[in-house]
Amino acid sequence: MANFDKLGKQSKRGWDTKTGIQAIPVGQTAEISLFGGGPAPDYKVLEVSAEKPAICTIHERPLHPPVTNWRGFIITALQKGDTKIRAILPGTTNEWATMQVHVTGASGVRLVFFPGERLASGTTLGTIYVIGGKGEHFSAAGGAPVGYKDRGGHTAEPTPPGHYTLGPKYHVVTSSWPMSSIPFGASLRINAAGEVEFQGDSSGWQLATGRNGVVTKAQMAFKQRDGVKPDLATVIAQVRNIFIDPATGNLRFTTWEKNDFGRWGWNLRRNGQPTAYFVHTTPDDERNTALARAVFLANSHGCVHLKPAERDQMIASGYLKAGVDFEVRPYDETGPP
Amino acid sequence: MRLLAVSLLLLVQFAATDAHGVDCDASARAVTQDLRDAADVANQAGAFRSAFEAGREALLTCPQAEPLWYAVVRTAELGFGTFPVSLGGADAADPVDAARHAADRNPKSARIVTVLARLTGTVAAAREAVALDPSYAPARTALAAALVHAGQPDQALALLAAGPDIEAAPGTRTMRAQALLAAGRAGDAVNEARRDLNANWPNAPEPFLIMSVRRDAEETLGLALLADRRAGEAVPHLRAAAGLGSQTAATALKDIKR
Repeated sequence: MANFDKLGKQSKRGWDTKTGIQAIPVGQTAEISLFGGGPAPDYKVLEVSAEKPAICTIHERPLHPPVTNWRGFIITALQKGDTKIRAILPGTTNEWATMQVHVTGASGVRLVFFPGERLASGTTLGTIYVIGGKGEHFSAAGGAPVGYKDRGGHTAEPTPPGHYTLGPKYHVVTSSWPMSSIPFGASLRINAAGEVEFQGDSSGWQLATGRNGVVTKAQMAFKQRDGVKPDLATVIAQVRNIFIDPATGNLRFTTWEKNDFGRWGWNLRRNGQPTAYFVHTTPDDERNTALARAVFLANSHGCVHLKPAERDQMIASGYLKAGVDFEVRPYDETGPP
Repeated sequence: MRLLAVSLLLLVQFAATDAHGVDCDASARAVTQDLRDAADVANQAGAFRSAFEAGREALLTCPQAEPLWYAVVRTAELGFGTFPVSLGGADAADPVDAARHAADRNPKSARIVTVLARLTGTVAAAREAVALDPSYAPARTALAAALVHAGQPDQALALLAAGPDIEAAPGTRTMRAQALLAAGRAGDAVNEARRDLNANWPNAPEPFLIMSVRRDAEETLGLALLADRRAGEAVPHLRAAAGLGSQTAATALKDIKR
Protein backbone atom coordinates (compact mmCIF):
# COMPACT_ATOMS: atom_id res chain seq x y z
CA MET A 1 0.00 0.00 0.00
CA ALA A 2 1.21 3.49 -0.81
CA ASN A 3 -0.22 6.97 -1.38
CA PHE A 4 0.84 10.59 -1.89
CA ASP A 5 -0.30 13.22 0.58
CA LYS A 6 0.80 16.32 2.45
CA LEU A 7 2.53 15.68 5.74
CA GLY A 8 2.97 17.94 8.76
CA LYS A 9 3.81 21.51 7.82
CA GLN A 10 4.10 20.88 4.08
CA SER A 11 2.24 23.66 2.23
CA LYS A 12 -1.17 22.62 0.89
CA ARG A 13 -1.20 25.50 -1.58
CA GLY A 14 -2.39 24.21 -4.98
CA TRP A 15 -3.10 20.76 -3.55
CA ASP A 16 -6.50 19.12 -3.98
CA THR A 17 -6.73 16.22 -1.56
CA LYS A 18 -9.86 14.75 -3.19
CA THR A 19 -8.49 14.56 -6.73
CA GLY A 20 -4.81 14.19 -5.85
CA ILE A 21 -3.89 17.08 -8.17
CA GLN A 22 -1.09 19.52 -7.34
CA ALA A 23 -1.16 22.82 -9.25
CA ILE A 24 2.20 24.65 -9.49
CA PRO A 25 3.19 27.78 -11.45
CA VAL A 26 6.17 27.32 -13.82
CA GLY A 27 9.43 27.65 -11.94
CA GLN A 28 7.86 27.08 -8.53
CA THR A 29 8.14 24.04 -6.30
CA ALA A 30 5.75 22.02 -4.16
CA GLU A 31 6.44 19.53 -1.41
CA ILE A 32 4.67 16.16 -1.26
CA SER A 33 5.10 13.00 0.78
CA LEU A 34 4.73 9.33 -0.02
CA PHE A 35 3.40 6.86 2.50
CA GLY A 36 4.30 3.19 2.29
CA GLY A 37 6.41 0.97 0.07
CA GLY A 38 6.30 -2.22 -1.92
CA PRO A 39 4.58 -5.44 -0.84
CA ALA A 40 5.55 -7.64 2.11
CA PRO A 41 7.83 -9.22 3.02
CA ASP A 42 10.61 -6.90 1.82
CA TYR A 43 8.64 -3.61 1.44
CA LYS A 44 10.93 -2.41 -1.36
CA VAL A 45 11.56 1.30 -1.70
CA LEU A 46 9.37 2.62 -4.52
CA GLU A 47 10.84 4.61 -7.42
CA VAL A 48 9.17 8.00 -7.86
CA SER A 49 9.27 9.94 -11.12
CA ALA A 50 7.20 12.11 -13.46
CA GLU A 51 5.59 10.38 -16.44
CA LYS A 52 6.41 13.46 -18.57
CA PRO A 53 9.77 14.72 -17.26
CA ALA A 54 9.60 17.80 -19.50
CA ILE A 55 6.67 19.11 -17.41
CA CYS A 56 8.12 18.70 -13.94
CA THR A 57 10.81 16.84 -12.06
CA ILE A 58 10.60 15.27 -8.61
CA HIS A 59 13.41 14.72 -6.11
CA GLU A 60 13.47 13.02 -2.74
CA ARG A 61 14.19 15.41 0.12
CA PRO A 62 14.71 13.88 3.58
CA LEU A 63 11.98 14.67 6.10
CA HIS A 64 13.20 16.55 9.18
CA PRO A 65 12.54 14.93 11.56
CA PRO A 66 12.08 11.53 9.88
CA VAL A 67 8.57 10.06 10.06
CA THR A 68 8.17 6.28 10.02
CA ASN A 69 6.88 4.93 6.66
CA TRP A 70 6.89 8.40 5.05
CA ARG A 71 9.30 9.89 2.49
CA GLY A 72 9.50 13.55 1.49
CA PHE A 73 9.72 14.87 -2.08
CA ILE A 74 9.95 18.21 -3.85
CA ILE A 75 8.36 18.80 -7.26
CA THR A 76 9.89 21.45 -9.54
CA ALA A 77 7.64 22.78 -12.33
CA LEU A 78 9.51 23.17 -15.64
CA GLN A 79 6.90 24.13 -18.25
CA LYS A 80 3.13 24.44 -18.70
CA GLY A 81 1.27 21.13 -18.94
CA ASP A 82 0.00 18.11 -17.02
CA THR A 83 1.71 14.93 -15.95
CA LYS A 84 1.29 12.01 -13.64
CA ILE A 85 3.74 11.32 -10.81
CA ARG A 86 4.18 7.60 -10.30
CA ALA A 87 5.60 5.50 -7.49
CA ILE A 88 6.52 2.14 -9.01
CA LEU A 89 8.06 -1.06 -7.79
CA PRO A 90 11.71 -1.14 -9.01
CA GLY A 91 12.13 -3.25 -12.13
CA THR A 92 8.40 -3.23 -12.92
CA THR A 93 5.77 -0.86 -14.31
CA ASN A 94 3.41 -1.55 -11.40
CA GLU A 95 2.11 1.76 -10.04
CA TRP A 96 1.73 1.65 -6.28
CA ALA A 97 0.75 5.29 -5.92
CA THR A 98 0.00 8.12 -8.35
CA MET A 99 -0.83 11.82 -8.28
CA GLN A 100 -1.28 14.51 -10.94
CA VAL A 101 0.70 17.71 -11.44
CA HIS A 102 -0.84 20.67 -13.26
CA VAL A 103 1.79 23.27 -14.23
CA THR A 104 0.46 26.72 -15.06
CA GLY A 105 1.75 30.05 -16.36
CA ALA A 106 5.04 30.96 -17.99
CA SER A 107 8.53 32.04 -17.00
CA GLY A 108 11.72 33.43 -18.44
CA VAL A 109 14.59 30.99 -18.82
CA ARG A 110 16.14 29.79 -15.56
CA LEU A 111 18.44 26.87 -14.86
CA VAL A 112 18.11 24.67 -11.77
CA PHE A 113 20.95 22.31 -10.89
CA PHE A 114 20.42 19.32 -8.60
CA PRO A 115 24.04 18.21 -7.90
CA GLY A 116 23.35 15.18 -5.70
CA GLU A 117 20.91 13.17 -7.78
CA ARG A 118 22.81 9.90 -7.96
CA LEU A 119 26.12 8.12 -7.39
CA ALA A 120 27.61 6.35 -10.42
CA SER A 121 31.01 4.63 -10.32
CA GLY A 122 32.20 6.82 -7.48
CA THR A 123 31.02 10.09 -9.07
CA THR A 124 28.12 12.12 -7.68
CA LEU A 125 26.16 13.16 -10.74
CA GLY A 126 23.40 15.68 -11.16
CA THR A 127 21.24 17.36 -13.75
CA ILE A 128 20.57 20.92 -14.86
CA TYR A 129 16.86 21.45 -15.61
CA VAL A 130 15.65 24.25 -17.86
CA ILE A 131 12.69 26.22 -16.54
CA GLY A 132 10.79 28.28 -19.07
CA GLY A 133 12.24 26.36 -21.99
CA LYS A 134 11.04 23.15 -23.56
CA GLY A 135 11.59 21.03 -20.47
CA GLU A 136 15.15 20.06 -21.44
CA HIS A 137 17.66 18.73 -18.97
CA PHE A 138 21.44 18.32 -19.16
CA SER A 139 23.95 16.14 -17.32
CA ALA A 140 26.29 17.92 -14.92
CA ALA A 141 28.65 17.20 -12.03
CA GLY A 142 29.18 19.64 -9.19
CA GLY A 143 31.85 19.79 -6.53
CA ALA A 144 32.87 16.76 -4.51
CA PRO A 145 30.02 15.85 -2.15
CA VAL A 146 32.44 15.96 0.78
CA GLY A 147 35.26 18.48 1.10
CA TYR A 148 38.91 17.49 1.11
CA LYS A 149 42.28 19.16 0.82
CA ASP A 150 43.69 18.97 -2.70
CA ARG A 151 47.04 19.85 -4.25
CA GLY A 152 48.38 23.34 -4.85
CA GLY A 153 46.52 24.86 -1.89
CA HIS A 154 43.15 23.98 -3.37
CA THR A 155 40.23 22.32 -1.64
CA ALA A 156 37.51 20.29 -3.28
CA GLU A 157 34.10 21.12 -1.86
CA PRO A 158 30.40 20.77 -2.65
CA THR A 159 28.98 23.48 -4.92
CA PRO A 160 27.26 25.84 -2.46
CA PRO A 161 23.47 25.83 -2.83
CA GLY A 162 21.82 29.14 -3.64
CA HIS A 163 20.82 31.55 -6.37
CA TYR A 164 23.41 32.76 -8.87
CA THR A 165 23.46 34.60 -12.19
CA LEU A 166 25.64 33.51 -15.11
CA GLY A 167 28.44 35.85 -16.10
CA PRO A 168 29.52 36.23 -19.75
CA LYS A 169 31.10 33.39 -21.72
CA TYR A 170 34.89 33.60 -21.84
CA HIS A 171 38.13 31.62 -21.88
CA VAL A 172 38.88 31.27 -18.16
CA VAL A 173 42.48 32.05 -17.20
CA THR A 174 43.85 31.69 -13.69
CA SER A 175 47.34 31.23 -12.33
CA SER A 176 46.00 29.12 -9.45
CA TRP A 177 46.11 26.05 -11.73
CA PRO A 178 49.28 25.83 -13.87
CA MET A 179 47.51 24.47 -16.95
CA SER A 180 44.92 27.27 -16.74
CA SER A 181 47.44 30.10 -16.95
CA ILE A 182 47.05 29.92 -20.75
CA PRO A 183 43.64 30.37 -22.40
CA PHE A 184 42.08 27.38 -24.13
CA GLY A 185 42.72 27.52 -27.86
CA ALA A 186 45.78 29.79 -27.63
CA SER A 187 48.38 29.37 -30.40
CA LEU A 188 51.82 28.12 -29.37
CA ARG A 189 55.25 28.66 -30.91
CA ILE A 190 58.92 28.29 -30.01
CA ASN A 191 60.74 31.63 -30.02
CA ALA A 192 64.32 32.33 -31.08
CA ALA A 193 65.55 31.66 -27.54
CA GLY A 194 63.97 28.21 -27.63
CA GLU A 195 61.19 29.07 -25.17
CA VAL A 196 57.50 28.44 -25.76
CA GLU A 197 55.22 31.42 -26.30
CA PHE A 198 51.44 31.58 -26.53
CA GLN A 199 49.01 34.04 -28.04
CA GLY A 200 45.59 34.35 -26.44
CA ASP A 201 42.50 36.28 -27.43
CA SER A 202 43.68 39.85 -27.19
CA SER A 203 47.27 40.11 -26.09
CA GLY A 204 50.45 39.59 -28.10
CA TRP A 205 52.81 36.67 -27.71
CA GLN A 206 53.66 35.84 -24.09
CA LEU A 207 56.19 33.49 -22.54
CA ALA A 208 54.86 30.16 -21.28
CA THR A 209 58.11 28.38 -20.38
CA GLY A 210 61.46 29.44 -18.96
CA ARG A 211 62.22 31.43 -15.84
CA ASN A 212 59.63 34.13 -16.65
CA GLY A 213 57.04 31.92 -18.31
CA VAL A 214 53.49 32.14 -16.95
CA VAL A 215 53.23 28.36 -16.58
CA THR A 216 56.57 28.19 -14.77
CA LYS A 217 55.47 30.89 -12.35
CA ALA A 218 52.10 29.24 -11.79
CA GLN A 219 53.79 25.86 -11.22
CA MET A 220 56.22 27.36 -8.70
CA ALA A 221 53.35 28.97 -6.78
CA PHE A 222 51.32 25.74 -6.97
CA LYS A 223 54.12 23.80 -5.30
CA GLN A 224 54.86 26.54 -2.77
CA ARG A 225 51.24 26.44 -1.64
CA ASP A 226 51.83 22.77 -0.89
CA GLY A 227 54.47 23.85 1.59
CA VAL A 228 57.47 22.75 -0.45
CA LYS A 229 60.39 24.80 -1.73
CA PRO A 230 60.58 23.87 -5.39
CA ASP A 231 63.85 23.99 -7.28
CA LEU A 232 63.41 26.54 -10.07
CA ALA A 233 65.61 24.64 -12.53
CA THR A 234 63.60 21.45 -11.96
CA VAL A 235 60.29 23.25 -12.43
CA ILE A 236 61.57 24.96 -15.59
CA ALA A 237 62.50 21.54 -17.00
CA GLN A 238 59.18 19.98 -15.97
CA VAL A 239 57.17 22.80 -17.54
CA ARG A 240 59.23 22.63 -20.73
CA ASN A 241 58.38 18.93 -21.02
CA ILE A 242 54.68 19.75 -20.97
CA PHE A 243 55.10 21.60 -24.26
CA ILE A 244 58.18 20.16 -25.95
CA ASP A 245 59.08 16.55 -26.66
CA PRO A 246 62.65 16.34 -25.29
CA ALA A 247 63.61 13.69 -27.82
CA THR A 248 62.78 15.83 -30.84
CA GLY A 249 62.81 19.40 -29.53
CA ASN A 250 59.46 19.94 -31.27
CA LEU A 251 56.20 21.24 -29.81
CA ARG A 252 53.90 18.40 -28.74
CA PHE A 253 50.96 20.52 -30.02
CA THR A 254 50.53 23.94 -31.55
CA THR A 255 47.22 24.84 -29.88
CA TRP A 256 46.74 24.88 -26.11
CA GLU A 257 43.85 22.61 -25.15
CA LYS A 258 44.84 21.73 -21.58
CA ASN A 259 43.20 24.63 -19.76
CA ASP A 260 41.38 23.06 -16.78
CA PHE A 261 38.20 25.02 -17.55
CA GLY A 262 37.77 23.68 -21.07
CA ARG A 263 36.91 25.89 -24.01
CA TRP A 264 34.42 28.21 -22.30
CA GLY A 265 33.48 29.17 -18.77
CA TRP A 266 30.66 31.18 -17.17
CA ASN A 267 31.17 32.56 -13.69
CA LEU A 268 28.43 31.93 -11.14
CA ARG A 269 27.86 35.46 -9.86
CA ARG A 270 26.16 36.08 -6.53
CA ASN A 271 24.63 39.42 -5.57
CA GLY A 272 26.35 40.95 -8.57
CA GLN A 273 29.80 39.75 -7.49
CA PRO A 274 31.94 37.03 -9.06
CA THR A 275 32.47 33.83 -7.06
CA ALA A 276 35.11 31.12 -7.24
CA TYR A 277 32.67 28.88 -9.12
CA PHE A 278 32.22 28.44 -12.86
CA VAL A 279 30.09 26.42 -15.24
CA HIS A 280 32.54 24.79 -17.64
CA THR A 281 33.78 21.61 -19.33
CA THR A 282 37.14 19.89 -18.82
CA PRO A 283 40.01 19.50 -21.31
CA ASP A 284 39.74 15.71 -21.27
CA ASP A 285 36.03 15.81 -21.99
CA GLU A 286 36.71 18.29 -24.82
CA ARG A 287 39.32 15.94 -26.28
CA ASN A 288 37.18 12.83 -25.87
CA THR A 289 34.27 14.60 -27.54
CA ALA A 290 36.49 15.61 -30.46
CA LEU A 291 37.68 12.00 -30.78
CA ALA A 292 34.12 10.62 -30.51
CA ARG A 293 35.07 8.78 -27.29
CA ALA A 294 32.75 8.36 -24.32
CA VAL A 295 32.61 11.32 -21.93
CA PHE A 296 32.62 10.71 -18.17
CA LEU A 297 31.79 13.68 -15.99
CA ALA A 298 33.89 14.04 -12.83
CA ASN A 299 33.24 15.93 -9.63
CA SER A 300 34.97 19.29 -9.44
CA HIS A 301 36.41 21.53 -6.73
CA GLY A 302 33.06 23.36 -6.56
CA CYS A 303 32.43 24.30 -10.19
CA VAL A 304 29.74 22.76 -12.39
CA HIS A 305 31.08 20.42 -15.08
CA LEU A 306 29.16 20.02 -18.34
CA LYS A 307 29.56 17.68 -21.31
CA PRO A 308 30.99 19.64 -24.28
CA ALA A 309 28.25 18.54 -26.70
CA GLU A 310 25.53 19.53 -24.23
CA ARG A 311 27.35 22.82 -23.51
CA ASP A 312 27.14 23.60 -27.24
CA GLN A 313 23.45 22.66 -27.27
CA MET A 314 22.79 24.94 -24.29
CA ILE A 315 24.61 27.82 -25.97
CA ALA A 316 22.63 27.33 -29.18
CA SER A 317 19.36 27.31 -27.21
CA GLY A 318 20.26 30.54 -25.42
CA TYR A 319 20.40 28.89 -21.99
CA LEU A 320 24.08 29.53 -21.29
CA LYS A 321 24.51 33.29 -21.49
CA ALA A 322 25.15 36.26 -19.25
CA GLY A 323 22.27 37.17 -16.99
CA VAL A 324 20.53 33.76 -16.87
CA ASP A 325 19.47 32.74 -13.34
CA PHE A 326 21.22 29.61 -12.11
CA GLU A 327 20.00 27.93 -8.94
CA VAL A 328 22.01 25.24 -7.13
CA ARG A 329 19.94 22.91 -4.97
CA PRO A 330 21.24 21.04 -1.91
CA TYR A 331 23.03 17.70 -2.37
CA ASP A 332 20.53 15.81 -0.22
CA GLU A 333 17.78 16.22 -2.84
CA THR A 334 18.20 12.98 -4.76
CA GLY A 335 16.73 11.08 -7.68
CA PRO A 336 14.71 10.76 -9.89
CA PRO A 337 15.70 7.21 -10.93
CA MET B 1 83.85 3.36 -37.89
CA ARG B 2 81.30 5.25 -39.95
CA LEU B 3 79.66 1.96 -40.92
CA LEU B 4 79.44 1.01 -37.27
CA ALA B 5 77.81 4.32 -36.41
CA VAL B 6 75.24 3.93 -39.20
CA SER B 7 74.56 0.36 -38.11
CA LEU B 8 74.03 1.46 -34.52
CA LEU B 9 71.71 4.24 -35.65
CA LEU B 10 69.66 1.78 -37.68
CA LEU B 11 69.54 -0.60 -34.74
CA VAL B 12 68.26 2.15 -32.44
CA GLN B 13 65.64 3.15 -34.99
CA PHE B 14 64.57 -0.46 -35.44
CA ALA B 15 64.24 -0.92 -31.70
CA ALA B 16 62.10 2.19 -31.35
CA THR B 17 59.65 1.36 -34.11
CA ASP B 18 57.25 -1.50 -34.52
CA ALA B 19 56.50 -3.61 -37.60
CA HIS B 20 54.17 -0.88 -38.93
CA GLY B 21 56.84 1.79 -38.68
CA VAL B 22 55.16 3.44 -35.70
CA ASP B 23 57.50 5.34 -33.39
CA CYS B 24 56.77 3.48 -30.16
CA ASP B 25 59.21 5.59 -28.14
CA ALA B 26 57.29 8.71 -29.14
CA SER B 27 53.99 7.07 -28.14
CA ALA B 28 55.49 6.05 -24.81
CA ARG B 29 56.86 9.54 -24.17
CA ALA B 30 53.49 11.13 -24.94
CA VAL B 31 51.55 8.81 -22.64
CA THR B 32 54.14 9.14 -19.89
CA GLN B 33 53.83 12.93 -20.11
CA ASP B 34 50.04 12.64 -19.87
CA LEU B 35 50.50 10.69 -16.63
CA ARG B 36 52.94 13.31 -15.28
CA ASP B 37 50.57 16.15 -16.18
CA ALA B 38 47.88 14.49 -14.04
CA ALA B 39 49.78 15.61 -10.94
CA ASP B 40 48.99 19.27 -11.62
CA VAL B 41 45.61 19.29 -13.36
CA ALA B 42 42.31 20.10 -11.67
CA ASN B 43 40.46 17.10 -13.06
CA GLN B 44 42.71 14.15 -12.22
CA ALA B 45 39.99 11.63 -12.99
CA GLY B 46 39.70 12.91 -16.54
CA ALA B 47 43.46 12.96 -17.00
CA PHE B 48 43.82 9.36 -15.83
CA ARG B 49 40.94 8.20 -17.98
CA SER B 50 42.54 9.88 -21.00
CA ALA B 51 45.91 8.30 -20.20
CA PHE B 52 44.26 4.87 -20.04
CA GLU B 53 42.65 5.40 -23.45
CA ALA B 54 45.83 6.80 -25.00
CA GLY B 55 47.84 3.88 -23.61
CA ARG B 56 45.30 1.33 -24.79
CA GLU B 57 45.27 2.78 -28.30
CA ALA B 58 49.08 2.95 -28.48
CA LEU B 59 49.37 -0.69 -27.34
CA LEU B 60 47.58 -1.71 -30.53
CA THR B 61 50.71 -0.87 -32.50
CA CYS B 62 53.32 -1.05 -29.73
CA PRO B 63 52.42 -4.13 -27.67
CA GLN B 64 55.89 -4.43 -26.13
CA ALA B 65 56.20 -0.90 -24.72
CA GLU B 66 56.52 -1.05 -20.93
CA PRO B 67 55.53 2.63 -20.35
CA LEU B 68 52.27 2.05 -22.20
CA TRP B 69 51.46 -1.07 -20.18
CA TYR B 70 52.30 0.77 -16.96
CA ALA B 71 50.08 3.73 -17.89
CA VAL B 72 47.19 1.39 -18.65
CA VAL B 73 47.43 -0.78 -15.54
CA ARG B 74 48.14 2.06 -13.10
CA THR B 75 45.17 4.10 -14.34
CA ALA B 76 43.02 0.96 -14.32
CA GLU B 77 44.11 0.31 -10.73
CA LEU B 78 43.02 3.84 -9.85
CA GLY B 79 39.58 3.04 -11.28
CA PHE B 80 39.76 4.68 -14.70
CA GLY B 81 39.85 1.75 -17.10
CA THR B 82 36.98 0.48 -19.17
CA PHE B 83 36.58 -3.30 -19.10
CA PRO B 84 36.47 -5.78 -20.72
CA VAL B 85 39.11 -4.50 -23.13
CA SER B 86 41.70 -5.75 -25.60
CA LEU B 87 45.23 -4.71 -24.61
CA GLY B 88 48.14 -5.31 -26.92
CA GLY B 89 46.39 -8.30 -28.46
CA ALA B 90 45.26 -9.83 -25.15
CA ASP B 91 41.74 -9.74 -23.73
CA ALA B 92 41.47 -8.33 -20.21
CA ALA B 93 38.27 -8.82 -18.22
CA ASP B 94 39.25 -6.48 -15.38
CA PRO B 95 42.22 -4.55 -13.95
CA VAL B 96 43.73 -7.70 -12.38
CA ASP B 97 43.62 -9.44 -15.73
CA ALA B 98 45.20 -6.39 -17.38
CA ALA B 99 47.99 -6.30 -14.79
CA ARG B 100 48.65 -10.03 -15.31
CA HIS B 101 49.06 -9.48 -19.05
CA ALA B 102 51.28 -6.46 -18.38
CA ALA B 103 53.48 -8.44 -15.97
CA ASP B 104 53.70 -11.37 -18.41
CA ARG B 105 55.01 -8.99 -21.10
CA ASN B 106 57.22 -7.03 -18.68
CA PRO B 107 58.37 -9.46 -15.98
CA LYS B 108 61.29 -7.24 -14.95
CA SER B 109 59.19 -4.10 -14.44
CA ALA B 110 59.00 -3.50 -10.68
CA ARG B 111 56.29 -0.87 -11.08
CA ILE B 112 54.03 -3.15 -13.12
CA VAL B 113 54.57 -6.12 -10.81
CA THR B 114 53.83 -3.76 -7.89
CA VAL B 115 50.48 -2.82 -9.42
CA LEU B 116 49.70 -6.52 -9.88
CA ALA B 117 50.70 -7.18 -6.26
CA ARG B 118 48.38 -4.46 -4.96
CA LEU B 119 45.50 -5.66 -7.09
CA THR B 120 45.85 -9.29 -5.99
CA GLY B 121 46.83 -8.41 -2.42
CA THR B 122 49.06 -11.44 -1.95
CA VAL B 123 52.30 -11.44 0.01
CA ALA B 124 54.02 -13.60 -2.62
CA ALA B 125 53.29 -11.16 -5.44
CA ALA B 126 54.45 -8.22 -3.34
CA ARG B 127 57.68 -10.02 -2.41
CA GLU B 128 58.29 -10.55 -6.12
CA ALA B 129 57.91 -6.80 -6.73
CA VAL B 130 60.31 -5.95 -3.91
CA ALA B 131 62.83 -8.48 -5.22
CA LEU B 132 62.80 -6.78 -8.62
CA ASP B 133 63.71 -3.39 -7.11
CA PRO B 134 64.16 -3.17 -3.34
CA SER B 135 64.62 0.61 -3.63
CA TYR B 136 61.16 1.13 -5.18
CA ALA B 137 59.08 2.40 -2.24
CA PRO B 138 55.64 1.46 -3.70
CA ALA B 139 56.78 -2.18 -3.86
CA ARG B 140 57.66 -2.12 -0.17
CA THR B 141 54.37 -0.43 0.77
CA ALA B 142 52.52 -3.02 -1.33
CA LEU B 143 54.25 -5.75 0.68
CA ALA B 144 53.38 -3.98 3.92
CA ALA B 145 49.71 -3.80 2.91
CA ALA B 146 49.70 -7.50 2.02
CA LEU B 147 51.31 -8.35 5.36
CA VAL B 148 48.65 -6.39 7.26
CA HIS B 149 46.00 -8.28 5.32
CA ALA B 150 47.77 -11.55 6.17
CA GLY B 151 47.75 -10.75 9.89
CA GLN B 152 51.41 -9.79 10.23
CA PRO B 153 51.21 -6.10 11.20
CA ASP B 154 54.55 -6.02 13.03
CA GLN B 155 56.42 -7.04 9.88
CA ALA B 156 54.46 -4.43 7.98
CA LEU B 157 55.41 -1.71 10.46
CA ALA B 158 59.07 -2.62 10.07
CA LEU B 159 58.77 -2.15 6.31
CA LEU B 160 56.98 1.16 6.77
CA ALA B 161 59.64 2.64 9.07
CA ALA B 162 59.95 6.33 8.27
CA GLY B 163 62.46 7.33 5.61
CA PRO B 164 62.47 9.88 2.80
CA ASP B 165 61.43 7.42 0.10
CA ILE B 166 58.67 5.87 2.19
CA GLU B 167 57.34 9.28 3.26
CA ALA B 168 57.29 10.42 -0.39
CA ALA B 169 54.82 7.65 -1.26
CA PRO B 170 51.19 8.82 -0.90
CA GLY B 171 49.12 7.20 1.83
CA THR B 172 52.00 5.56 3.71
CA ARG B 173 50.88 6.99 7.03
CA THR B 174 47.39 5.63 6.46
CA MET B 175 48.91 2.24 5.80
CA ARG B 176 50.99 2.55 8.96
CA ALA B 177 47.80 3.41 10.83
CA GLN B 178 46.14 0.28 9.43
CA ALA B 179 49.08 -1.81 10.64
CA LEU B 180 48.91 -0.18 14.08
CA LEU B 181 45.19 -0.83 14.20
CA ALA B 182 45.74 -4.47 13.27
CA ALA B 183 48.37 -4.67 16.04
CA GLY B 184 45.82 -3.43 18.55
CA ARG B 185 47.39 0.02 18.96
CA ALA B 186 44.28 2.11 18.18
CA GLY B 187 45.51 5.29 19.87
CA ASP B 188 48.72 5.32 17.84
CA ALA B 189 46.71 4.52 14.70
CA VAL B 190 44.54 7.61 15.28
CA ASN B 191 47.59 9.88 15.47
CA GLU B 192 49.14 8.37 12.37
CA ALA B 193 45.97 8.41 10.24
CA ARG B 194 45.33 12.09 10.97
CA ARG B 195 48.58 13.05 9.26
CA ASP B 196 47.42 11.98 5.79
CA LEU B 197 44.35 14.23 5.91
CA ASN B 198 46.53 17.25 5.11
CA ALA B 199 49.81 15.84 3.79
CA ASN B 200 51.23 16.55 0.32
CA TRP B 201 53.40 14.34 -1.86
CA PRO B 202 55.18 16.61 -4.37
CA ASN B 203 57.77 13.93 -5.19
CA ALA B 204 55.49 10.90 -5.34
CA PRO B 205 57.14 7.89 -7.00
CA GLU B 206 53.98 7.02 -8.95
CA PRO B 207 50.84 8.78 -10.21
CA PHE B 208 48.13 8.94 -7.57
CA LEU B 209 44.59 10.21 -7.12
CA ILE B 210 44.49 12.63 -4.19
CA MET B 211 40.77 12.05 -3.58
CA SER B 212 41.21 8.33 -2.91
CA VAL B 213 44.21 8.95 -0.63
CA ARG B 214 42.12 11.37 1.46
CA ARG B 215 39.16 8.95 1.43
CA ASP B 216 41.32 6.10 2.73
CA ALA B 217 42.80 8.39 5.39
CA GLU B 218 39.32 9.43 6.56
CA GLU B 219 38.14 5.81 6.59
CA THR B 220 41.16 4.56 8.55
CA LEU B 221 40.94 7.44 11.01
CA GLY B 222 37.24 6.74 11.56
CA LEU B 223 37.86 3.03 12.14
CA ALA B 224 40.79 3.77 14.45
CA LEU B 225 38.64 6.15 16.50
CA LEU B 226 35.91 3.52 16.71
CA ALA B 227 38.44 0.96 17.92
CA ASP B 228 39.62 3.53 20.46
CA ARG B 229 36.00 3.77 21.72
CA ARG B 230 35.55 7.32 20.42
CA ALA B 231 32.48 6.77 18.27
CA GLY B 232 31.37 10.40 18.46
CA GLU B 233 34.66 11.55 16.96
CA ALA B 234 34.64 8.71 14.43
CA VAL B 235 31.30 9.58 12.82
CA PRO B 236 32.34 12.74 10.89
CA HIS B 237 35.39 10.96 9.48
CA LEU B 238 33.37 7.90 8.48
CA ARG B 239 30.77 10.19 6.91
CA ALA B 240 33.50 11.97 4.96
CA ALA B 241 34.94 8.64 3.77
CA ALA B 242 31.49 7.33 2.83
CA GLY B 243 30.79 10.56 0.94
CA LEU B 244 33.95 9.98 -1.07
CA GLY B 245 32.86 6.43 -1.91
CA SER B 246 34.03 4.17 0.95
CA GLN B 247 31.69 1.20 1.39
CA THR B 248 33.57 0.14 4.53
CA ALA B 249 32.84 3.51 6.13
CA ALA B 250 29.19 3.37 5.05
CA THR B 251 28.83 -0.06 6.66
CA ALA B 252 30.54 1.12 9.86
CA LEU B 253 28.12 4.05 10.06
CA LYS B 254 25.14 1.71 9.74
CA ASP B 255 26.56 -0.48 12.50
CA ILE B 256 26.93 2.57 14.77
CA LYS B 257 23.26 3.51 14.20
CA ARG B 258 22.21 0.00 15.23
